[in-house]
Amino acid sequence: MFKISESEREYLVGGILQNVRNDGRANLDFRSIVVKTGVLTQTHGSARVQLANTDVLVGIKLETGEPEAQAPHHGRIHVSVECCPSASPEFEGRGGESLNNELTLVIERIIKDTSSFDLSKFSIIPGKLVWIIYIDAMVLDSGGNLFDAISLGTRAALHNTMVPHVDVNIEAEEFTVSDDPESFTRIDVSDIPISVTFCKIGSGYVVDASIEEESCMSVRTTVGVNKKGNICTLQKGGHGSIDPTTMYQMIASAKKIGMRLIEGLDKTLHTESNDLQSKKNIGFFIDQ
Amino acid sequence: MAARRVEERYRSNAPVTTVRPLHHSFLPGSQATNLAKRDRKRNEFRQFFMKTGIIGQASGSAYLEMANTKIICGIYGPRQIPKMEFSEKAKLQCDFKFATFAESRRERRKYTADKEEKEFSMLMVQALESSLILEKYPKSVIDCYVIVLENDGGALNGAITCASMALANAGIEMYDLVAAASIGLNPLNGEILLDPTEAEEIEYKKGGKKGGGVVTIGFMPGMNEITQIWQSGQIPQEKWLL
Amino acid sequence: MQNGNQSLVCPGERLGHTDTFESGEGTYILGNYVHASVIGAREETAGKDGGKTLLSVKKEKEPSIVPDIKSIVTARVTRVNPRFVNVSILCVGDRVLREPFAGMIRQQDVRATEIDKVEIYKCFRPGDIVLAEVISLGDSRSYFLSTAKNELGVIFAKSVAGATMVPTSWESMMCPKTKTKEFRKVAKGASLSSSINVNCTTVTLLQTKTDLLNTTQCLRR
Repeated sequence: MFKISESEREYLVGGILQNVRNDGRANLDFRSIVVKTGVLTQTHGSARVQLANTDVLVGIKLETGEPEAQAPHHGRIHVSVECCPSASPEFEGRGGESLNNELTLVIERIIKDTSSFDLSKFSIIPGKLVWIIYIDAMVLDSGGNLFDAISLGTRAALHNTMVPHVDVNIEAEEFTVSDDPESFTRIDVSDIPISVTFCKIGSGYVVDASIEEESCMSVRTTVGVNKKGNICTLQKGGHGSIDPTTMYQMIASAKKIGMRLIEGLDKTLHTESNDLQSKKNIGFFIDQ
Repeated sequence: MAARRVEERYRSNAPVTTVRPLHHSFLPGSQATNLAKRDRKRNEFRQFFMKTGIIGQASGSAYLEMANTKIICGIYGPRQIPKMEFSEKAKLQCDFKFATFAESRRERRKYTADKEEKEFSMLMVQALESSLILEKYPKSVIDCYVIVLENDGGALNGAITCASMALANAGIEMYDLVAAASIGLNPLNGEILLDPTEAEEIEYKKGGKKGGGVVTIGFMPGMNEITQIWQSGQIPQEKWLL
Repeated sequence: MQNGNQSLVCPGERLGHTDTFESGEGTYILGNYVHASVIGAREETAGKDGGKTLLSVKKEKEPSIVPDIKSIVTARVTRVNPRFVNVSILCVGDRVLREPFAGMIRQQDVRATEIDKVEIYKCFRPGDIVLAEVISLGDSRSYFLSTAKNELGVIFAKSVAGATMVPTSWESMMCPKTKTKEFRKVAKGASLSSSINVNCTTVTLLQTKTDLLNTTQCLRR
């Protein structure tokens, strides 16, 4: 576990009371976010999100397969989050496993349980064949606030996803997936929520906590917010407790921050997809 | 049903081919009738029954029944941490398990913990840990085992309440008891309903564009602190201010 | 000294203001109030010299307990080696533990004087019942215990012949059957407090129980 000394902790908690954090931000300020889409050519859609040190890569793969018995006319979504042991030694073994599980379930609930996705559009042969969307997120480096980085990355990657065109012969139950890179459809991501995570430190709370701040938080609240400002999923983490008034304040600020984030993200994604052609990366870690 | 699972080879399994019983909720239109059939007021709990000290071997135990939801919880310890690093505080370990036959609306559960059970175990630890005075028991571990015998909605909140009772029954020092409850937002009419059943939970979660969802809250009434909050589905922020 | 004021309380219940009450067993202080931390009967004990009244909650059943620093524990020796003995802690104070905890008495903690001349084999043997004090929470595995006080040490031991030995000095015991002497770090019996007496009774009972079990097993064979 990342640990800081008692005096550093005091300094940090004192700063939060004054609404000044160690890196100069106010309590409810986000760090600057760098989002890049289409970073992986082998995937159907991908995105990379950087929040200071936090570095998250999300890849989307599409496969055809059988639908679930409960929902024969709907596509399937499969989410998995993996924290590379190379990013931090604490991700190795059991510690990493429980963190992966927690992250996966939060993202899964944000995407699946909130009717943000019209999964009926992912049916190919009703009752027989559907698209399975694999959302795989990988944490390359952790500098705090993995939840928000991954949820932003997921939304960006889904926006970037190209669903190949499928020719179907319903009677013969045959289909061919088009290999023409020009014939594809995009996914409507407008209703997909993102998460805003608060950490309660001392008696105050901050948004987008750095790893130092996360190491002294008592409660972490992850709030899913969609474009309309509705609250989609809510999850408490950490081992402390929180009073109801603070909870309401958090939800209210989550709505404001979340809507602003989505607006910003959409703008970036829009410009990115427009000048796809002009942008050329020299390497994965180097921009032109 | 699929062929035998590797993980269950050593148990006597169900027959390879089975047919699920035709439960009334599978029949077309039955969900709607189920919802309409709610025979209590929207701010009314189902009748519940609680009893502590029902497991003789455990340090503490409790049983909770909310209509068709039946939960049993046993506490063992504080006992010595087996081969683990030194810790000044006690560690709470929760093991949440659905009985294999706990649910009528879905397939039989496996014996090994699935993703949902692992998540609920974690949520329970978070919900209960802040209520305990863990500093009183250095170097030890408190084990909490919860089995949901039957689930008709509210398994998580029932488990939290039940476990808190069992912890008190075990004489473990705590700041306050944790009481948990769940509420559902009905997407059809925007009503908030207390203590939804499983059918209602499923219906609310897939509420669609209108919103709708289920919230579980763990609360320490004496301290006025929320120890756990968990939402699934979509709820407008305005509803949170009620 | 008890007042008649007894009622059942639950954890988290507010019992009284800290101006008039002091927090006793089964309670904690939050803000300016004493709260209950366990289920049980509220008990008030008048303070000394007109001080604050001590508020405590008496648990309805045997409460869970773990060894803490300075608590006197009763333990059975499980393994002996030249540098330390391993014990399993059976009782804390006058309460029997539900499950035993592992403890360790190191060579330097056996007695108060001449600690470098201690020969562990002349102090403890496996199976002895020892009264010891917890000096630290120890390492990840065991609590560190000390017998470096007159009233601490072996309180119950059996000779090679199998008879319960009687103490003859602070470092030897005698077998009543064979009259042979064996070396032990013996606890000073005269100063046994009431709680320790309770301990002895419990331990003897435990011992009798294991003896009984052994006998029945032998008989079965």
